[in-house]
Amino acid sequence: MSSPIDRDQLQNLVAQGAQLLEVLPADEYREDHLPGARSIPLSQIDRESAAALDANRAVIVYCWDMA
Amino acid sequence: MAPRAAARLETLGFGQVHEYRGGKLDWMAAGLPTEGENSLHARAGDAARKDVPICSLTDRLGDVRDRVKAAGWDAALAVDGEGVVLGLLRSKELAKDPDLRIEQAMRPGPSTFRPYVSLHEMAHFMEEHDLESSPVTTSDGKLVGLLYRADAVRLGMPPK
Amino acid sequence: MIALEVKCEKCGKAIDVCDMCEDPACKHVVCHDCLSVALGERRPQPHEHGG
Repeated sequence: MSSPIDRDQLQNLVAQGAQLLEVLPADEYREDHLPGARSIPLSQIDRESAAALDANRAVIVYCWDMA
Repeated sequence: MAPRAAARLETLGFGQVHEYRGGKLDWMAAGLPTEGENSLHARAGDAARKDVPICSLTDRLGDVRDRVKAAGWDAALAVDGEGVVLGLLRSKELAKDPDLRIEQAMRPGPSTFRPYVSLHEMAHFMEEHDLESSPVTTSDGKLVGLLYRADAVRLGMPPK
Repeated sequence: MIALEVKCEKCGKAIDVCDMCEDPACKHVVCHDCLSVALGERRPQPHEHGG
């Protein structure tokens, strides 16, 4: 089960090697994204696209806000 | 949408998945840097003057005015102990009875703007509304600085 | 003092005062929602991707 985290926790996890994943549409990613984040829009998350991530490291997913 | 993405990743074998609930909005509202096309454009937080004088609610207006003028400013912001903006004092408020306390003289709860807002848009709105300055704060209300219209126009609008 | 109601120039919503300048005599009244969207502080609703 995934766990919700806040900004401070995110920064700590990233410092420990966590991967950031933005799941918004690609054009929103192009405009702005968190430093070092990868883009896989929600509708495109599958085995093939997720292969770009390391399944042995933590992944932090985010979108625009908490909606 | 982040919870659904997290759930999908778990079905694909990812064991350590976290959801940053605040998302990009929370990150940008805290004034933290981003990457991408928009990060090349000037933002309100870049141009806001960080050394704007601050004061507390119980300060005497006359003392604050003297300090503000001596520092070459025409505005000050009233903040609490955490740096949260409680009020704004422009020239009009600073010119009131010097024996008033700041909380009696200030403009309470002024409109504030987030640091990531486009400087171009801010310049446009500040011109349209004839605003000389606007406070820039994080989403939790903490002061980033005071944005002057002249700075917003100079840095946010290309020369005609 | 009589509270005057003004309308947002963009959406027509009735508000107490312009959210940008708080000037009762503002000629370009804008409400909080429209200003937030115009400045990119939030996305228009409904947001196409739902979050």
